[in-house]
Amino acid sequence: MKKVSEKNLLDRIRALQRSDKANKRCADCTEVGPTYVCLTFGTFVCTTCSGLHREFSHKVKGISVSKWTVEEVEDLERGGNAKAADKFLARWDPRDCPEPDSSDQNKCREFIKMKYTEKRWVERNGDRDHGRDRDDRDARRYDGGRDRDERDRHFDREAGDGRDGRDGRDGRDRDPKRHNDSDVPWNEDVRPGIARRMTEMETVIDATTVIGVTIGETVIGATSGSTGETEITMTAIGRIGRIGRIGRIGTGGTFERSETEAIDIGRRTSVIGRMRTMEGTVPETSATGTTGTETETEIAATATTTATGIATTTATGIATMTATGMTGGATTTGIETTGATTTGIGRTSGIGGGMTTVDGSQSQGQTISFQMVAGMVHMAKVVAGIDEKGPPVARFSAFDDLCEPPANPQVGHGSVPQPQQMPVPVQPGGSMPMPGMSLLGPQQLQQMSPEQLMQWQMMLQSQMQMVMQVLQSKQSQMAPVPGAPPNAPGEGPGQFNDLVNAFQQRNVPANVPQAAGCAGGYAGAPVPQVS
Amino acid sequence: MGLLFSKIWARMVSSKEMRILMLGLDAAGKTTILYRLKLAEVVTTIPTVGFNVETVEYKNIKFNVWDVGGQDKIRKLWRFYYQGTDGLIFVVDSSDRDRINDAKEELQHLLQHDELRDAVLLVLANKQDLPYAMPAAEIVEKLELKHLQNRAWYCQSTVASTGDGLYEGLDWLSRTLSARQ
Repeated sequence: MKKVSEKNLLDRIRALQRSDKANKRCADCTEVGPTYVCLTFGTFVCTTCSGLHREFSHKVKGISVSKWTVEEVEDLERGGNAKAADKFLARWDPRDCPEPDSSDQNKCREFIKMKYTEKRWVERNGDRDHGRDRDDRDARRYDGGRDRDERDRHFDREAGDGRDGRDGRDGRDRDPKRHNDSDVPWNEDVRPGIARRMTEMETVIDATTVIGVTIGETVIGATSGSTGETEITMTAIGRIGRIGRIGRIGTGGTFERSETEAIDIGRRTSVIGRMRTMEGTVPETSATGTTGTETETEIAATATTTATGIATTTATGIATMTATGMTGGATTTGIETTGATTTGIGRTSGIGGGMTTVDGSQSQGQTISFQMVAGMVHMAKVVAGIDEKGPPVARFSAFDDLCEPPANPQVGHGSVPQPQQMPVPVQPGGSMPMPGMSLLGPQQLQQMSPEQLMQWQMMLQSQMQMVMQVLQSKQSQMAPVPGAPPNAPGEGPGQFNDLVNAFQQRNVPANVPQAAGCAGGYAGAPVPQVS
Repeated sequence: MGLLFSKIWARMVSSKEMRILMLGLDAAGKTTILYRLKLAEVVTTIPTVGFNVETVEYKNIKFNVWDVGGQDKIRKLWRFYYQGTDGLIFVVDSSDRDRINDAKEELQHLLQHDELRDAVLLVLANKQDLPYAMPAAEIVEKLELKHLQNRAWYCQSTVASTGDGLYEGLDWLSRTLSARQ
């Protein structure tokens, strides 16, 4: 019962975040996809600003990594970014003091100080003119919300609104290049129509020409196989902000319909992938596919982001899991699934060396839901669903590697990037207790003796330390990050392994967090256990 | 003779490195403390999801300090870091009266773990610079430290942003841990 109410609260927060465009952006800077809540002001803020708010002793909570009370959620529902802006930005003129970019912590700090501590822009009595200005501004700001109902919104809709009038970048955002093949909008509402937009071709949305905030999204359907399997591949390439990097999400699966939203927010990248199943048939274009109500449904999804900090991947659905794991020197944590019809408990395990697995194969449910917060993740894999006997098996995997934007931002088609130079993992100390840095599932870990586990831990620790050293020594260059070696035999479907391998073979330059404590640590990794 | 020597040698070597686990509720100041010790400066931190680890050398002892994120739902990950811990630093936001009881419960809970049986406990009553911060004595009381049995503990008031008190805390750790060797 407790679980359910916790889930409900989280759902309410997420619903609130979806319901208002203002809540999809950080209240205090230009970042999109806020993952924290500042309780003091009832706002959604980004990671950077959440850290800064703490400096002011404002209370912050990570949305997915916190337990919520009803009161807190109710307070938040009464608040929200728009309300807070009404109050604290009433007299604010973006021309005088534009909203800071999240990459500039000092400016963000200064902005927060002026906004909340000095209350510089709080409306005072008799200050009507400014109030009117603000109304205009707000009206413009929420313009984008009106075409919410229009079917043919473009993916970069977000780029054009939400920012207007707020930071004086209007002109640049006005006419973003819209040459994507799929003008499928990403939207929160489940709409059957979208499935029809899927094509057999992979579609790449190039949002690189958009300056400002971009949400690149695309829905692509591709069919393969004749055994009733349908693949859906999605790739979104978005580039955000002046220092934005290319972010990609690729997902493949057999959902009749899935959605991804890629939010690339520059130095720190959030990737939010949402997948939903719904009643209906496979897209018409999926010529060899079968109906989506097939009992055997697989989703394999990959998301590649250029994250130096936090990557968040979200899929909504049913199933409950908690996962911990060390990934590429940081902890991957808070993979959580919640669900109504979950009977099994998702089992999870996480292993350093660049890969995290969440195995929810004992969960039941049509869709999976989890959130993964990972710092410096090279690769992560989440498996959820029930085993072959039961109905749907859902697999979701996320790849999050660290790389610079390609020299040519017009990233070619193909959700799996061309293999490049294979970064060779450093072998610590000669003897390895395990063959390669395989990904170990919970069962495998369970089978290990304490000595083996300790050896494993030590090996991972030294691996992590080496990774750190190599990273540090190559910090300024394009340094390859040791990728995770292939999965343990028998782990995951072949298709998934192929994707994993392909991703591993990328030359992944390192992006070390700039500020200390930005992402998780590097050295050492405790042995994760089955929770 | 050789055996004795090697034992002594091993002791000397092993006494040089200490595994320190730093825990506490979110926003207590763990990461700030870690980097204050490591870099002697105040860094801007973000909420830690995962952990940070740094080696801090002080008085000829290498402290391997693990700073693990303290947000509610990731507290259950703390236990993965218990193993081999010589010293536990528990950081408390002394100005957060609302959650001092949560802090107590988390602390009392984690001290029950067998893997931390031998760990010495340093409580840092952080954020003493804030108005109405509870003094160390009050923290001791609120955390019910005096009820602890078979546990070497110490409570030190600190201000992570200035570094005040941090080295006093490390002093106690090094003294206590060296005495154990």
